[in-house]
Amino acid sequence: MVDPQLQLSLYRSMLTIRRFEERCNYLFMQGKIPSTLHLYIGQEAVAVGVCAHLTADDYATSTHRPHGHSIAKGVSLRSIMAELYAKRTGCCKGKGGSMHVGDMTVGMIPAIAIVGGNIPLTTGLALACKRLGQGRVAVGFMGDGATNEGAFHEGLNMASIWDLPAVFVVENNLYAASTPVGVTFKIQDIAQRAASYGMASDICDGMDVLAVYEAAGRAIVRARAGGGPTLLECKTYRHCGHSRSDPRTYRSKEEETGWAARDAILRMAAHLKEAGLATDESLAQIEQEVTAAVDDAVAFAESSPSPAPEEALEDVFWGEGPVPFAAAAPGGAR
Amino acid sequence: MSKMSIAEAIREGIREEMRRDPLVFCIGEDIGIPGGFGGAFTVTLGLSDEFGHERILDTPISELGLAGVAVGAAMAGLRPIADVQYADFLFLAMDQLVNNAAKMTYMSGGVAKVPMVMRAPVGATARGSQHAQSLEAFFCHVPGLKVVAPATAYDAKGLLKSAVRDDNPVIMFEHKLLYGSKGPRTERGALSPVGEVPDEDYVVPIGKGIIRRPGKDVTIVGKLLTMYRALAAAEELAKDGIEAEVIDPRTLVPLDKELLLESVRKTGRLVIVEEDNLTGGWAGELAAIVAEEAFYWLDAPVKRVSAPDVPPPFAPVMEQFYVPSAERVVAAVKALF
Amino acid sequence: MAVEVLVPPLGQTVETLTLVSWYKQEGETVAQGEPLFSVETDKATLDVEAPASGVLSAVTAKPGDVVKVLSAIAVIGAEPKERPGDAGPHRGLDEGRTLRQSEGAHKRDAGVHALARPEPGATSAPRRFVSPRARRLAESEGIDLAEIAPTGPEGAIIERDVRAYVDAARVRAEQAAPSASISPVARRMAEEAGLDWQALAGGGPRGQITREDVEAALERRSRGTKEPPAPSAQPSASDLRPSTPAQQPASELPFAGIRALIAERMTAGHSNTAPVTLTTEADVTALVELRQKLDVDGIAASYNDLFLAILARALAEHPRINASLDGDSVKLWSQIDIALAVDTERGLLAPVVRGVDRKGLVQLAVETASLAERARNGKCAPDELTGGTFTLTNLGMYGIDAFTPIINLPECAILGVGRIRTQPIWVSDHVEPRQVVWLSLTFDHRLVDGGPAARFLQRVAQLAGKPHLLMA
Repeated sequence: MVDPQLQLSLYRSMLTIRRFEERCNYLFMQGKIPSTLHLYIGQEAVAVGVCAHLTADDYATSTHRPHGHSIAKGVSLRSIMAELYAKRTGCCKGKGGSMHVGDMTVGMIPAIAIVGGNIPLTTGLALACKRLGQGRVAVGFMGDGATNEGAFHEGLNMASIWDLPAVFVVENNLYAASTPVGVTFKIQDIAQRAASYGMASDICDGMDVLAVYEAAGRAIVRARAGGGPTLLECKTYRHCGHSRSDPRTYRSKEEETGWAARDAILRMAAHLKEAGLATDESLAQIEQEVTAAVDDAVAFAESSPSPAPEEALEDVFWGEGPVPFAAAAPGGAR
Repeated sequence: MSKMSIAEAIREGIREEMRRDPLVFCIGEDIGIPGGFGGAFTVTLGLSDEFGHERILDTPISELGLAGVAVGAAMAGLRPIADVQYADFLFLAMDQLVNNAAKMTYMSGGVAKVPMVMRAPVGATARGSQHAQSLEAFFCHVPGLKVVAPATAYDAKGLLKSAVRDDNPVIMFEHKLLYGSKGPRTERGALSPVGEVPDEDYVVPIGKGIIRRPGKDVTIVGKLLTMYRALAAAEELAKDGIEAEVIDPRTLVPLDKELLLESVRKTGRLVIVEEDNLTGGWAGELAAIVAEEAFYWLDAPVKRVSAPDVPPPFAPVMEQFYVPSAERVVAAVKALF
Repeated sequence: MAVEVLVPPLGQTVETLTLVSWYKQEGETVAQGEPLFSVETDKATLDVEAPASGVLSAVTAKPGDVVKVLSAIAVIGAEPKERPGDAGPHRGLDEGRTLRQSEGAHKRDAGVHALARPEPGATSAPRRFVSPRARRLAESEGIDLAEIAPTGPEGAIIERDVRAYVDAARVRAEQAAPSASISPVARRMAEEAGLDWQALAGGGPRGQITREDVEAALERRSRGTKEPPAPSAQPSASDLRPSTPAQQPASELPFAGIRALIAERMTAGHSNTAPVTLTTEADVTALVELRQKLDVDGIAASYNDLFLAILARALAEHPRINASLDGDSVKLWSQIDIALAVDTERGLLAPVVRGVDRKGLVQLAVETASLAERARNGKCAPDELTGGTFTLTNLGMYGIDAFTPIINLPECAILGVGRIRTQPIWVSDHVEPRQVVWLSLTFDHRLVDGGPAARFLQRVAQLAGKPHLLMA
């Protein structure tokens, strides 16, 4: 039985991600957020179930859909929201945007928006973890689509031959943008591919946070103990479109309703009540606190300053000043 | 002081850096295999004997993968020296180098750093189009990457060390005909410049070019092999009373612009010679800089002596036609007077 | 490569011919072998073919003229290159400039075959190609490009052509220079008085030395040998007026260019402001140590670089000092751009380091070294020398302690740094040797009062004394 406090925190974490993403959607519709968004709504159990095993010293990499992983890994709501608002207080100082949120201080690598691009990176991080010998692990999140990129093949192969402390978490939400897995895979389970690398694998129900927690736990323990990498496939579903400009006409209403009924958060709420770990009141309390945290993040973002335009010239090279550029030089007369 | 070839100098540089800092390691194909080549051009030969196979890490044929591994390892605190056997293979790794390595620091708002080195040999050597390109220009164009191109043993060791110590991704281009590799990896037609290299620790700073030969009548800029072509051309031109100033930029990005501009202000004429296709090449960038910032010092148009816009051909006679020769440089210079 | 068009020797006994007509106009392209002009002999009118291909120019005969056989009546020059956008306005600029210069009293050697100057409004003038370097040189020497024969590739005038012209002109000038002219009366006066009149400047027509000039020179000479006045004599008002020394100057330097500009700016800085200089002695022992430590770690920062960093912080905290008075408003600048006074052969220059607060010490060191070097070589761009918000001047290397620097308008203040020297200083209850330096801040009391200026200087001294505070 998973520790009750932990179960509650898993629930809270999922709810935080859900409410944050819903708010992002709302703000985007209000025109407050300049860029597009790739919302994580529906897949919260995977990020939360996996990251519950990680400390700030472990690494996680993510994709163009990184908000859930980032929040679960410990990146503050304020810094993510401020980044979405393109403010200087954002986690990337306004230089990254939604698809590159991250925070090195909590081990969340700024997300990689090129599908599959984060996989060899994860292998490299795991290489360093093994070399530096402190029992750290590197987790790479990816979607089903990424597993068809060459980068997946190369990254997993190398993680396997070197027995690296990596966990490759495939969130199989059945669609790569609009393309269903049936069109792009001959196999039923992506986890089958691990065999071709001689790598351990596992499959779990991505809509059940406790199942994810358990399966991820095995993989991460294996990695920390020097047992090599694991390919963990989580069967899940994203309730929303691929991005904000996706009307989801490639999925049927029945399919969507079916998955919505298996919603991880509702399921966990029901489980907590059944196990006597929560009541309607205590859940409402959590709901309130989560809403307050999201409100706080939005208020922070809205009141934060925008970066100066010339800041675009900074941070190209680590430890060096801004790039020289003619438009920035003020010239003689003021 | 020791006399060594460029391959030896790079090897020494790697060795010294790996001794100095336990976080430095090499990753590439065929670099540490016992009884192997020591990389395609013998640079890493023997290093695995001293440092073992975790720090001289052999990879499968996975250029995209190994580049990405280098990026990840660098972000987690190691200092990788990655390499590809032929620069042409870098194209397989473009996503990791250009979208990840070059942009991580920027996209993270200056927090993440990627202190990695990627070494790659360039130059035509009768192997056919896909093992012959001089493609530095592709990487000069990416903000967030530093690009160096040492043409002497002294510079090769010094720049390798600077690259390892730099906290940013550095691509180091080496020329196949300049390595001076021995034994089964000897290259036909190689120049094999052997130079004096100090035994003690020294670096060549990134971003500083050097004047190889001072002159007052024309500035000739060449990199890697074509720097030697420029020197040969300068010898020839001197017989006709034209004193050429030959500049070796050593670093392509960030370019030692002031060195170039100062020289052009002095001589009034500029010829750039490169082993790369004319269109969109590095020479065009230098020409544009000079046209913008030293136009009024020019006494003649800026000339580029580049390879024609064709893939590098195989047949030796065609290859010689393709790669700019000293004669072509001499002719280009004379036409400016 | 120009080919002369000669009048052909048609007819056995003919010495001259009459030019009937031209088939091509000046500036037009001609092809070798095509009919170029026609001439009339005693017997007939005949066509003459063009001897070469190119552009017709330097036409010196018009229809009806009688021309000597075998004389040159035109020139066919190199073909100009095809260049798009060869439009009128650009050519007009050439013409205008050429015309202005030709309006001056410009002596031309009879023997020189110059390219024909285009008439105003003419559209067929040949385009002259001049390298930018040559054009610059010609402009600075005040030479009409029409005078210069091109020898560069593609028929262009290049630097050596302008140089050759300049050198030739100088030789001609030296050979033709008349000796100083003097009127006979003046000459007799001077010779009788034993005065060397060759060295005199002449005030008469065309610089002629006149009797008045000699008289004035004799007066100056005699004043120089006059006995000093008796001690009891009262000084008269005229004696108290400022007067130039009674001697010939050893040499004369033109009061123009940078010197005049500095004079103007210093006068303005001194008299258009309400300048007050505050001084304080700062204990910079820690700063000296810091610089040594940086050096050990390979960072070569000068004291100027360190003071730039200190000033950047202090100015950020005292925005009223990083300001300018502009008409009726005081402008507080957001960017901190500090000018660094550099002593050069041509005079005091103050190149500006921009955005000092956003630059690390290493970058500042590189930049100041580069700016100073370029300032000394006269290579600074004009906009590198203006637009600062504060100035730093350091006379420490000349052993100066406190001084009264003049404000670099339109800035509000300027900091002068003296020499760093070792002094015995009370530290709590004992004396120990410490490194101290005088800091002199001149500020404009129109913008800022003594109190705030003093607080600013105090902060600068504090940071100089405790550089670790820069980390806070």
